[in-house]
Amino acid sequence: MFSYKIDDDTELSLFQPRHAEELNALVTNNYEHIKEWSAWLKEKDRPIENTQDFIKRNLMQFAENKGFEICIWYRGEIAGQIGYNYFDWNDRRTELGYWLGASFQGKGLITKSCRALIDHAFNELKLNRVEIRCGFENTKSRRIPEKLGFKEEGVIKQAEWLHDRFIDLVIYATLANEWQANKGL
Amino acid sequence: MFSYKIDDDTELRLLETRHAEELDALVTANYDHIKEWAAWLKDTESPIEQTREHIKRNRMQFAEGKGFNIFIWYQGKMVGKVGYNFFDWDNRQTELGYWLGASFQGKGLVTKSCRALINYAFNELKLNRIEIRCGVENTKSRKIPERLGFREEGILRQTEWLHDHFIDLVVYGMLASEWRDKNKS
Repeated sequence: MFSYKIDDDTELSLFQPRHAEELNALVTNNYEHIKEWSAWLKEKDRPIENTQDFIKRNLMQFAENKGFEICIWYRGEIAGQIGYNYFDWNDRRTELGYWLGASFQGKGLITKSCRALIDHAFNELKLNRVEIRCGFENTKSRRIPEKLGFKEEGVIKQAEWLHDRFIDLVIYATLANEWQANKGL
Repeated sequence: MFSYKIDDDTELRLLETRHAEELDALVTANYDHIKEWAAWLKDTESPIEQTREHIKRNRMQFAEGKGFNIFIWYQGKMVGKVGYNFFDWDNRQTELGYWLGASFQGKGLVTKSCRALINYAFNELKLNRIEIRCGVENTKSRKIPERLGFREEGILRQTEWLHDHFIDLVVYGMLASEWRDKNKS
């Protein structure tokens, strides 16, 4: 019922239990593409229960104000996911994460969705800092914070275990006063 | 972040804890008006923490799929509430409840909001039955289900304790098939 309209083709909404099949199918069909940079995706044939549990846990996390994942809808289909990995209310900080089905790339969906989440984080949630962390070699993903005017703050060595090896992560961040100034344009 | 747009002036939103002050102010300003027909409103002034707790419980209820309250925003201000008091998934039914700040009456806000909730309940949640129960003497409230074409099914006598006396409730019902037929024409 509730959504955030980005434009005539694109909107964001919370995942609901009835979305489990479509989401699971999208993840399964994009296994190689998503797995390349996502530690959470392990099995090629992801059981529907994993997705149902994810949706339940996510609704709880949303209700408890601890962060939440959102569905990106493009022309009525699930195209990908974007979310606030957590909210740190003391430090007034959050981190964005995202992935997109391969066939939905090239339409600016992630950039537009990030812009919406960043606006919401600063304007409504009154947070002070938004981070995006990308695998050092994940050039497609790094283009997002770069396009949005984030500052590259540093490279954390061997910060994440990705299936079978450690990878380095680049940290990008924007602050509330910077974002107001350049609006990621 | 998420809302349901009814028209250019009106939208529905789940509450977040940051809305506690505005909710408190609305209820306080409309104390007598709401109290007349709402058993839940007891204290003239409840501490703001109680309101925040109430909002948290409502978000939990939403996350657990047990029902939820939404708030009506009119021209950028919180003006009232509509909601699903519960979801009975076995019997595929729900009950709507609502209240509106006195100065926002006469604009059709509750009727339009109920229509949105009814559409969502039947079309998305695939429920079969929606009830609205009103105090027999609560003529303003009874106009809502009557306007929406609900069937008056009966009167439950002395079925609710309203502050200091029992009241009779009228039960109005609408079935999915009836709503479909109404909206075909």
